[in-house]
Amino acid sequence: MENATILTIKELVNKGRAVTGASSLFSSAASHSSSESSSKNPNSRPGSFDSDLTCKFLAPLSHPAVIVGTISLPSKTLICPNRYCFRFSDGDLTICCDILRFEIRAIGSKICVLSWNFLPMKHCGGFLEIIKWKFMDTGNLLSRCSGIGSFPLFPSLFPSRNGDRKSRYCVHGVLESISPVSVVSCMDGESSDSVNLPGFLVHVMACECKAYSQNAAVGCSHAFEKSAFVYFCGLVVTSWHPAIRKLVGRNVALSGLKKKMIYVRGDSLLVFVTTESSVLHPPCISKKQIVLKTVVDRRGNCGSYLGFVKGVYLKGKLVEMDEDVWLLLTDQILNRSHSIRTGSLICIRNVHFVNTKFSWGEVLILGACFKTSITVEFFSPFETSCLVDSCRQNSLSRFIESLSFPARFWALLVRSCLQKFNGIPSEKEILRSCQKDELTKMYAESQIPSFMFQPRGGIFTEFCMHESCGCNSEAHDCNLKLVMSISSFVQHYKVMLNELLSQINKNSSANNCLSHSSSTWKRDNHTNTKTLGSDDIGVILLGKLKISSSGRLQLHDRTSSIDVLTPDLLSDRNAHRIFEVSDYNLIMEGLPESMLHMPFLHNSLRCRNVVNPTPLAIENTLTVRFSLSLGTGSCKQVYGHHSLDWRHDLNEFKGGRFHLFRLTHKFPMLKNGHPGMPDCTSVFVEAIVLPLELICSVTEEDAAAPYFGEHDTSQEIRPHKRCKTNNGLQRERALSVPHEISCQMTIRCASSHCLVSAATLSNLKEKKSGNMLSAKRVLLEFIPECSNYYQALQIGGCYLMKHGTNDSFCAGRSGISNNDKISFRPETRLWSVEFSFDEDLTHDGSVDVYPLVSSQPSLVEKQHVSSPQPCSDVSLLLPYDAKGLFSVFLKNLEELNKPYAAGKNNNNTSCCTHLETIMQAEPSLVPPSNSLFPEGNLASFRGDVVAVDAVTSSVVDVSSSYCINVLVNHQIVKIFGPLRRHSYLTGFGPGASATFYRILGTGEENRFVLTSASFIKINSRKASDGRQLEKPAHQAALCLPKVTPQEYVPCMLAGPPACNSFSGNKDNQQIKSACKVLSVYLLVLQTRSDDPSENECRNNFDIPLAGFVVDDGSSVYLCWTSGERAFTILRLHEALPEEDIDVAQWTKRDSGRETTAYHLEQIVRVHKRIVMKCNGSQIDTLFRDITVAVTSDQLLAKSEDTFLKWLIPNAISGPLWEVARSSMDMKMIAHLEREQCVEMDTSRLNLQNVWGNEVSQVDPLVRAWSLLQGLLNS
Amino acid sequence: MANSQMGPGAPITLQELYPSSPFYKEAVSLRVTGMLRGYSVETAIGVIEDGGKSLRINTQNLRDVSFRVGSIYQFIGELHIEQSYNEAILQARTGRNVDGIDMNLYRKTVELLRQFLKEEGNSNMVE
Repeated sequence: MENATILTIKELVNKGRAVTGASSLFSSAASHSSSESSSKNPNSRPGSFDSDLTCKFLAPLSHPAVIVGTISLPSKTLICPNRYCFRFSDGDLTICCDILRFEIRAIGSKICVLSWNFLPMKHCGGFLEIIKWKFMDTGNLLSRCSGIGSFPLFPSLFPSRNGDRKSRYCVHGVLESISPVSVVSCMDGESSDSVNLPGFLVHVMACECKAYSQNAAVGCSHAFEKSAFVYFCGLVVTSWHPAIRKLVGRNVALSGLKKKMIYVRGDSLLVFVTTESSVLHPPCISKKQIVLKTVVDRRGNCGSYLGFVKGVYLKGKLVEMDEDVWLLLTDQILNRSHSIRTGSLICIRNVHFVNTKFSWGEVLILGACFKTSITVEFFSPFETSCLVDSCRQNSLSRFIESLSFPARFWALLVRSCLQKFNGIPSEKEILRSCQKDELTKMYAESQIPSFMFQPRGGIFTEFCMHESCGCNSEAHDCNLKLVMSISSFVQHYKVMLNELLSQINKNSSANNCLSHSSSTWKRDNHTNTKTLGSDDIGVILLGKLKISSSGRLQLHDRTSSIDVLTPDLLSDRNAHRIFEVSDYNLIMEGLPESMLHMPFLHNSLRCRNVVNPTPLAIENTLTVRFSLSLGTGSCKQVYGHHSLDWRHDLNEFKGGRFHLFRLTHKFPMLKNGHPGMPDCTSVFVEAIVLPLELICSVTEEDAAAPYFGEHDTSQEIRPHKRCKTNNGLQRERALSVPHEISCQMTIRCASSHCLVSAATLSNLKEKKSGNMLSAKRVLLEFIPECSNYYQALQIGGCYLMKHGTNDSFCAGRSGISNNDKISFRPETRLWSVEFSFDEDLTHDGSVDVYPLVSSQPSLVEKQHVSSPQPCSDVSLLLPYDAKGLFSVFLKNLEELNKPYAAGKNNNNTSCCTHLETIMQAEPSLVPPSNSLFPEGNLASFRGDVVAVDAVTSSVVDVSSSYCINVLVNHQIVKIFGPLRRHSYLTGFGPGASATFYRILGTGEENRFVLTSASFIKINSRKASDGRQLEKPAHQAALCLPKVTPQEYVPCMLAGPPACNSFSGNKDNQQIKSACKVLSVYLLVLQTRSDDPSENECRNNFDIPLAGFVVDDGSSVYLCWTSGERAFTILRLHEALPEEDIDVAQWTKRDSGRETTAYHLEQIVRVHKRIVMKCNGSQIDTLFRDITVAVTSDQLLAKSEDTFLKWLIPNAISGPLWEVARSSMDMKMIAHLEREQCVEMDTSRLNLQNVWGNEVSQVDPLVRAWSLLQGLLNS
Repeated sequence: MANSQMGPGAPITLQELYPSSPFYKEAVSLRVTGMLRGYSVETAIGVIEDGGKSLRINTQNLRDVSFRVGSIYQFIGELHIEQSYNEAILQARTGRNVDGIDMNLYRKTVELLRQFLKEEGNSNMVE
């Protein structure tokens, strides 16, 4: 103390640095005999503040320092936004302050501040937190605990005015609660003007004894049972508010009060009012215990809560206390202390405890009302910013105040989420804070149910009649969905997946410590997806839609963005509109295989992540791509102020003329991947320009008075004009386009403003050649700057483009002719347009109403019911007789050469009973074609993607090739193509409903090839949990195999197995050697007996002949064998490897029987006899062309086919076999061929043919030891 | 690798690698086998152990070898003796996982191989 320098406030303010200081450093604290040397030392963290906050501690001063000055009540000399806080002045400067262990006597006295925090503040220089202090005048210390002393509320200019008889009442009791300061307008007695008098209410549980005796010791046998209210009235008395607030919970006495009867809600209430002679008698200071953890004292719904502040958000309206405990300080009138900072220990008295279950999790809300008072018990040791009430009362805060606590909390979360839409400075339309408030209010109003609104009764009602005014009744369950920023949302699922991953790793390491967990991810897992529905997630996302540089449609906010897949969308031109996405599926692509079958953890979402999105440090081992698949009509616009916007929209239409064109094809983006083709940055679409132009007759008045809402637009309001067809139409319709068609035009603006106007479709005039007579097909080129348009355009959609001298269609040309290449200009605007025809005007699903262009309703479509509401920018109502004309232009593009329905094929296949049907294996890239380029008819159709398989082959060239299995009209269609990674579309994969445009038919039934001009559009995605496994049902397989009725060979299977003929053949010399299987050459599988009862036995099938290509280290042989030996080499008695994806369904189905033989038997039993042949001409390329032939009327399912082919790699990956072989001559081969009715084709590979007599497994170790022994002995 | 003449990695067991051993020389090429006891990703130094002896392996030049403690690995490389500590470290040229190897058999094979090479060398000398 002696060494301490005395700092002035000026020094502190001028430095402008947050510091902490004390009269003594380190050791002296102990000698100071105070047990309360708590939060001062910056290095001592409060015990239970288990914070993961990364707060900086306040910088301590390097030398001991004290501050000397006086504490005073708030006055007008210093304007602080928080209004009622203590002031500290050293004579030179005055700043705001807060003080621990406050005593009334300190007011006005000169004190020495022994330890303190100083925080700079913009408003009034700084804020001083007084931790320890003492009176400068040491004599006063004696009276510290005496309780004696009285403080007149008015400055005692006039010592005694006790003569006033009215002001003779006194109240003595426990100060229960204090209200915030409010202003009451009242009539001054002397003048007739009304004056605004500030004041506040205090609730005291008083003792009923008549008079307060100054001599009576506090703590006597008073019974504090009577509820009394004291109103502190007037400007001067109100300045006592911070001092009285410090006394809540303590014993006080007030004398010199007068009684007043007030009327609150019809009830009369006795209130004591302060007078000029009122005197405050402060209590004795009793030592409190240091509390270092959360203390909750609850009585009913109200109680007090003591805890550390973990975060202050939204200008102090939302304070995070403990995990999932949130303090709401929404009432604007509430007094927020500067010292409520992150890290401070606060005591909240008389706060509402509202346990609320939201759809995303449970939260304890501490709702502050007018009775609530907050005192800071310990100041925060961190350098965190002070709370400053800067926001004024606005419509949002008024709105929030009218809600129940859970709804208030929700609305604040929305507000904090919208915070993320802070405008990028370059944007013209910056959503300023107040606009965001408006937006929040509008959005919240539309979401919050009416019962969550709560009428407010004003400060007197709510304070004095707290229990009865409804402040108690709270709705505890709340089905409001959490609104989250995209980054928090994605972050949440990343964290969840990581947790799941670590759990899996733990499990797998427990099971099998040798398995290398990380290697499992390295596989190409792009088709492993998992989908979660929005109902399970319970989160609403808000964002703007944009198209990213990579060409994907994304929902983005300031924090992040997420890929979006949407069935239909307004061709939205304004990137500033905020959409609400509530109905969606979250698609997680690229999950590890092991994760697919794990149930997802249900982590409740933390509100903290919403208000304070801090990227957690996650070791990102997963590369999971997230995307959203939007449900129909899920993407609502959050309505905001767009009046400028729609007026601008409508102005565009005023008297304008528009080109009409229809998109017939979009060519995919060519991204540096096509060999032999130069890099092309432009994208192209094919369009048909209709020989009509739209002349719009919107006038100024029309534009000025648009209608709201979709449904009550058009016809009822406006006298419906019967649209007349020009007389010429009747005559010329058959030949060409009529000159003029009048129609009715409805223009929709984004904010549900609608405008109905008359318009005319007239023959398009061209500069030189006069009228354009027929539709022209053109190629539109979009330079990269226009690629937004490219994404938004839909094949089959019609669009309007403003006609002018400088538009894309007119600029620099006299007329449009077929196959013109037209560059799209970046400044051009497009509107989507739809047509409906006069006869049926209703909008609910009538056939005649648009969409004309969409396909016929099929089963596929019914699963994804499209929105009944029209969603184009402009709709045109045309006379019915124009329909014929338009149907030529608007013919369906989605069903070109569509595969036949399954029913037609049924007859054909049933004819092929007992035919040996041969199924061609998937060719490597393109089904064989004789010509250099593939030939065939182009087709377009829509279907459900069942599976996307990489065409497995050991040949490197074709490994990038894919086969897409699509279900169209209940039949599987295979589409082959180089679907490269970069062109991999968002959301594409099993479960997607997609339309394939211009794919090439191969001439083979239900086989198509994607060409470089083909385009895939994804219509929707089904929610699916995990992989969709193809059922081996025969229906699905009906159209799979190609029926070639050429090789009908009746098989006579009687007689001994083939091997018997050779087992006795001892003429041949038998050689034993260790061999490795290189490939399977031929495999014949058949049932042993036709008797079905015998078929129940295990392994009731036989391999009468099998050919393997084997290598014994010195040469390669074609080794033929049969029966058990073939079983051994094929490893049929071994269990199926579990990880094998292709056979997963088999193991699942019969989990009890795991061997390969068992599953093979199921197939053989159905098909009686199966011949599998590898037709390649080289050993390496044997797998390229595998044929599987079956002898039954059943067709081979895709899965069965896969399984049979899987036998080959399974055999190759087997161990070394010791084979005793003998050579075969031509006679033997011919005999075998005759007997087995197969062509063995032994000469193709030019290998020596041998017969395997014995097969046994070689243990390499045993072999090695025996070799070693042999060598050592020799 | 100042030595342009890089020799073949002579297969040895770790027990044979003691300071007075003929293999314990700077820049001698060796083929060593042992169980991976530890591996530091930061320094790319692993420690293999066999028969109670251990050796540090510098794997910074290796690619496509995934290291798992507890597996058996074989490395070919040059021995480097850090003078200050007199401690040997193998600068691995190549390495592989040889899980499933029978170390007893391997030791015997190494002996047999040496014996064979010695005889071969002797017979060459005679000629």
